[in-house]
Amino acid sequence: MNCGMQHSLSRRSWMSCMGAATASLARAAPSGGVSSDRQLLLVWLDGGLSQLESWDPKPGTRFGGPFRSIPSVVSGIRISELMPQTARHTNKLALIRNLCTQDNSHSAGVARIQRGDPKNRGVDYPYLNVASARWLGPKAVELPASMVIKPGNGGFLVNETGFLGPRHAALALGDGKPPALLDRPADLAAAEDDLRLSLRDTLDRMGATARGSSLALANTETFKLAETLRRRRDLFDPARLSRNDIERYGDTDLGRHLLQARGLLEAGVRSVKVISYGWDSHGDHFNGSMSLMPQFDRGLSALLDDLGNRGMLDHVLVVVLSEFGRTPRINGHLGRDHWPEAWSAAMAGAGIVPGQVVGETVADGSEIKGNSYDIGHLFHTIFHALGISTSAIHYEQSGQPLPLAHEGMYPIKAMLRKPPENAR
Amino acid sequence: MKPAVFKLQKPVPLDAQMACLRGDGPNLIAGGFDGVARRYRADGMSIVATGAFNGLTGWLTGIDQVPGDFVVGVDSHGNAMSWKGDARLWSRPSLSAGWLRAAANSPDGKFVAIAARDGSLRLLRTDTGATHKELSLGDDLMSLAWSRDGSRLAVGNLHGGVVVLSSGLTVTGKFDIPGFFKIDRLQAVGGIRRLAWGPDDATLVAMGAEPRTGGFVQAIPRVAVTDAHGKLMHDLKLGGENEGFALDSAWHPDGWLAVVTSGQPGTGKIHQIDVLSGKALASVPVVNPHGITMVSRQLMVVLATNANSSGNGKVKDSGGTYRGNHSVLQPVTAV
Repeated sequence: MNCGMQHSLSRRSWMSCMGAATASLARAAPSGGVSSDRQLLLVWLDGGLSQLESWDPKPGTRFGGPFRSIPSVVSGIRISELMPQTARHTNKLALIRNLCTQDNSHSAGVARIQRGDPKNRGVDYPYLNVASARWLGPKAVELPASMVIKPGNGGFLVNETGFLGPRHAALALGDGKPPALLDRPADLAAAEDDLRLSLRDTLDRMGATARGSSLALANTETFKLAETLRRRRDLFDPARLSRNDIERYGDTDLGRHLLQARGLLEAGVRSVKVISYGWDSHGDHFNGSMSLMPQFDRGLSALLDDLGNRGMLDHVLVVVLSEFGRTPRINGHLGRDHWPEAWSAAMAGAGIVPGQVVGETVADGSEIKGNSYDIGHLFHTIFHALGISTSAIHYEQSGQPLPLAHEGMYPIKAMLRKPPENAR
Repeated sequence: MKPAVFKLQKPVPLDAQMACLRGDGPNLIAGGFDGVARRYRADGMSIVATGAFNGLTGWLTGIDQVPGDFVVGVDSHGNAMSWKGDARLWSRPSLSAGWLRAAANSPDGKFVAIAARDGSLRLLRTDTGATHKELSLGDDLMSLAWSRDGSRLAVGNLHGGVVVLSSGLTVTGKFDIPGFFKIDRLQAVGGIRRLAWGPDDATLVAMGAEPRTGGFVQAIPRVAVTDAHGKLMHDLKLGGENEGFALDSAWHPDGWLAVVTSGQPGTGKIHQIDVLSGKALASVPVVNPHGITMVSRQLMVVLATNANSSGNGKVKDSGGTYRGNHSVLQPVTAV
């Protein structure tokens, strides 16, 4: 796929470009992370949100679909009529309408977009939420740095950690519920439990020392976390959610999970990801959009209301993303298929210049007009918005420095309040 | 009643994608995604364009015509419009805040019933477009059908409900037909997409699907025959879960119902249904059909989306152009 840009820059040439500066930065790179009060909320709409029924509507054109666009609170920014609540919040949002990425399959796209991987770089990068948490570190000492709320099963999402390893796995709350078997069995006395934990801890440490096992360390972290989570049952207690809040966010999976995400961010979880499934609308897309989009619209607008009213948009970066958009072409099942060629994402909050649209597609949405951005550009931008400099910090992987975001790409200047020198 | 033998004739490609098709014998009218109502005449096996009406802005998803050259169209932007002869008769912009799903002229030609996604049902005078009566039925209204004698109007909704009203829009009955609707993850799937009164004017034929999943939208095409009070008399499943919805129908002069079903791109059939016995007598594959109208005893015309309509990414033609899909009018003989 060629979006009209040259992305390729080999790792060798990146290293060469960085030269001696890299060596000094490598020494300077903090092993524990950067100092920042920022937090990330990634809203992942799995399957592929249609840009045409959300951020980049094209009514009255051959691919525009049946819906209209509506004006928003920011003059000149129009979004789909399916998002009337969010239209009140475009002054908080930065929309990017010229994403052109590489993969049009879920199997490749879900991982590569979340790894910020515009091409196969030979190593499995951590997902955005995991990487952000790794660099920013825990904000509230007792809580996990990275948590995920998703429909279905919970647990540790080890597959998201890439080369960082399982210790960095985000804890997923399946259906927003606490992890299974969190509580001490009723027939096990507290003192007995403490003894067992102490023994396990000793064995884990011995195992880690003897074999250098990252799994042993992860095991220790898990038990510590379980202890913490038992004390913070309030984070999962649906009874603590006000009826009014549930009404505002929508009494749906997505609404409840966005509301719960607000609570996790307030409690100090550094990186929260809310996953919503069911956006892969190959068939009956337009009827489907009329049930899907209002749920997203309601939840997102309530979240932006709350984050704004509580002053949290100063330090929380909200990113709404999918693995791709959806085809302009409308298929014979009245659906839209996968479309990485010209799609949209939205951001709000920390470090971002709100109330704007970056990039443009042609009148019928079938291609980008002018400059395009790939996921590497977005990763540079997101990391900088979080206070993580992609030019000053890199991963150390088996003695090799690896860039945080793709070395051939750069932060999007227009998106950032304080763009770095290499932003364009 | 004997099984028909269907034979597909040479399809006629159209220059746009169409949402619906209605006919008055050989005079056809199709509603486009571009808001244009295009007129055609089926002359034997040939279909020729005879004109077009402009003025609507959204998808023209509900269209109807009656003898006397009166045509009414409604669109997804909430607009309604009518034409008589070659001229616009009246226009009702923003009749509803949202999608107007279906329009059906009363058999006496005096009124047009219009069903909306916001649950509103309106009766407009066909000569002026003035609202004669309006009421809210409180659901996404997807389909409409007048009884042959014009004394009753049936309305089908997203959740599988049917409301029966008098010609003056007094509700005389309400019932649900279970199984026409499902929530899958976040997505509402299903609905009664088409309604028809039986030959005896006492039975109702509800068409749609038994939904299985959202997303790709897998569903089993379904035709349910009930009495006017909702008692289920026959329940036909017309294929597998890739075959989608029963979307449209037309009565054959011999008393059977031609039903088109369409699901995953590339699938689709015309089915011959004996409504009173509840039997599917015959079928023939047609790619992506969405509408059907009966031209004569021997000829029907199907509105379909072109083959090879789907594909991820920027699928280009041999000349390197990214093209949209288009509709075709598919003549089909039935003997």
